[in-house]
Amino acid sequence: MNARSQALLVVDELAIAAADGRTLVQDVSFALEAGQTLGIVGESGSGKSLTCRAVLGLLPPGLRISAGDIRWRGQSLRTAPAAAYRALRRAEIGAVFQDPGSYLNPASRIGAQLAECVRVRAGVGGRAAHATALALLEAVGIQQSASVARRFPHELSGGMQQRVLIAMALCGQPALLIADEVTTALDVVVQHQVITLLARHKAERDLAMLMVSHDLALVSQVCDHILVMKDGAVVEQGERAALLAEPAHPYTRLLIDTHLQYGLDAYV
Amino acid sequence: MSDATLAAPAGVASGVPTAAPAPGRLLQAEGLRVAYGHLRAAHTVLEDVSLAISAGEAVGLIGESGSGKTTLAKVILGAVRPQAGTVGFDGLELSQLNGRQARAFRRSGAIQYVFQDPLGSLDPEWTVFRSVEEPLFMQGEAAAAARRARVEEAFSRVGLAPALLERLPAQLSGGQRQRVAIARALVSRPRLLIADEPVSALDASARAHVLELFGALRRDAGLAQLFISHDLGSVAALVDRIVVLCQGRIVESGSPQQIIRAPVHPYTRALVQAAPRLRR
Amino acid sequence: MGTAILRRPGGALSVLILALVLFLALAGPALAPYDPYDGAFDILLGPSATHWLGTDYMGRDVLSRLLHGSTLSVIGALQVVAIGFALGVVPGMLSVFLGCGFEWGSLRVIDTLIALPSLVFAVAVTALIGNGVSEAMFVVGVLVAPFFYRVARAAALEVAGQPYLQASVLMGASVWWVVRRHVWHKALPAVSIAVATITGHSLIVVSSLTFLGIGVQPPEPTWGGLLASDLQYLAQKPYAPVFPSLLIVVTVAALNLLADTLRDAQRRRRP
Repeated sequence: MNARSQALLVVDELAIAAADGRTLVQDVSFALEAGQTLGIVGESGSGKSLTCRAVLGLLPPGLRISAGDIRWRGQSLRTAPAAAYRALRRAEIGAVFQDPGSYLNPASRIGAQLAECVRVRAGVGGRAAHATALALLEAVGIQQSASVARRFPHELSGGMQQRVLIAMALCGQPALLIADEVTTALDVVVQHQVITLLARHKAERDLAMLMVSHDLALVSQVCDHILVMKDGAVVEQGERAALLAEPAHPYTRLLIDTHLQYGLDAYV
Repeated sequence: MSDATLAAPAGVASGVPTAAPAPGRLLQAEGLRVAYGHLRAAHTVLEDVSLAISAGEAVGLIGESGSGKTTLAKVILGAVRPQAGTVGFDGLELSQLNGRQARAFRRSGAIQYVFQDPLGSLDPEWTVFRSVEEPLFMQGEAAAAARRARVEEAFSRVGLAPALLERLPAQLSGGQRQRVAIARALVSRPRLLIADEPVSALDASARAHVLELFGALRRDAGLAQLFISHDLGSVAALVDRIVVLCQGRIVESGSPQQIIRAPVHPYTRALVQAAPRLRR
Repeated sequence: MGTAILRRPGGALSVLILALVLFLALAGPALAPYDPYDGAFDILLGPSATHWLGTDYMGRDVLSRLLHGSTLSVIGALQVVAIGFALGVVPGMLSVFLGCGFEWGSLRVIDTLIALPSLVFAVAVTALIGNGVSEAMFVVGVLVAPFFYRVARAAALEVAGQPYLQASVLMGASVWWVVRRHVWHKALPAVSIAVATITGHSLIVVSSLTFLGIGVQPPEPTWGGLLASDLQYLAQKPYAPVFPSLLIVVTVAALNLLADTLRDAQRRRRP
């Protein structure tokens, strides 16, 4: 990848270990510049989600970074205190995860939750926060923003919930958006809509994105660079077109071949 | 593949039956209607749905959640009673069976179902041998030796080593578990196998193996398959015919090539467009 | 499960105590040094070499009476648990699978039984049907059944939505088959905790009933009955109530400890 001095996020030989000493992730390195999108592809257990959580400073209890470094704008995050990470997550990094229903408060209306997010992140209060919340809903493609803002999470479909969460992640105008299996729980048409939405935001806001998925095809729709993980290690990484045209590792080749053999690509 | 399926128009109008009844039909469902609730709270899940499957044919039923595809499978399996319509299977009228007759039909094992989640569909405290053996008790196979022979046969058919028979589901990988579930479905020598999102819960490497297995089963002329999925891409290569379900109605039907290259109905077009492709 | 319990210090201790109590209940009468009904000795003697726990107000050896009483009290409690188990567990499990009618009906019966205070009701019923041990135990057993029902029902509800149960039904299994082969074994851990807890509860109820003089006629010795008579002669022998009380308290404590150990052992298995 390109000059480190411009890089937004640098992960340098990262290793994550469990409490009993087992290595869960080892030797992960990549650099992400502003406006670049990186897709991390792998199956469950490959370590892709753990890597994201390490970047966010949200590793599950008992797990810790055992080697390597994570640098944000040149500053090392490995030994950063919790307060520094909180500031980072508030201002610069947004994240959206897999099951939208569990990230929304079921007892609170959508508008109120989004306004709270705006208040915390942008420092805006009261009516301005509410207006910003409505604007954000429209920015993620929800036309009837006022009526949706009055609803509770369970009244929305999975796709709508995920859009709300994307709106929340983007409300602080972050430099980086981390999307961890955001479409896995969604139907294929809705999945397509969410992916299109993410691609649009990437173009409009020059947003850097880290997209994690088990679906290589999905990732190839949005990302310029792809990193393939298996069993906690990186097996291959590179620029999208080059990687898909000439995969070096047999695992990458398996992923591509399965798609070509059984997916829509066989007919088109 | 029978000519009758291609002769039917891939109609845009709702409620178009896929084919006129013809000999050699294994499953013939006509005009199915399933609705819940009463009066103003009534919610129609299936409306005027007709589906025909011939022996040895593989059909893909595509639709999003809420399209009614799982309900259609339940009607065929006899778990849900339709308000209107008929389900003919090998000469037997399934929608008219009472409780005892329905159970007797299920015990015969003629129609089997593979769940989406292999971990949940196997009893976690039973060895996989016991799980695969269970349908044989239903069929009345009293001899333990005969049951063991059939279980081993089913196991080898799905490509699993006999050494795995005494393991618990938690000790197997996701792909192995799904193959156990398929073995359990095959052990009773069914005529029709219904698989609900069979590979969506699996990882890439396991997915390839299970898809290969379904392809191999397709060459068995005595077994018809019905795949239910929301993802066109995962079943297109496995089936002879695709039927598209939208909000309880069949909107289009045709061969995979037809559906993918030249979709007619706007919903089908949206589905085809949405299916993720490798952007090279 | 067995090794998991014995490995924990609480579990080993409770099993030891309960084994001892059971031994006393079964072999007690044979071990008693004197005839519990024979009031030939001096009354209200303190502990001595010939009478380890002294004598009671009628000159009978206290130790012999306690040993004989163990049988009645312990077996009585076990009777209660057995009846409650038989009447509660299977209906509780079936209520999840047999449809709305059975579920509603059985739940209303259970609600009624729970609403009745066990001790008062037992006294009332024995007044009606006869003041005997088995009658009293049966009544208490019926009143204890709801707890078993609820525990079994909760355990069955936990697995009711699982796909493997649906899979069995789809292949033509009857409700009996599903409950017997799939659900029963999964409900047993929770039910075993209930057995331990309710045995302790039953022992207290049996002791209370015999304390009040219900179910057993004097001169039959029971722990509760001994306690009652000891309290009458508190001035002469103030330490006397300690012995039957200690037996009751230690047994119930051991049962509760066993229940806690079972619960902890099961909690470890679930992630």
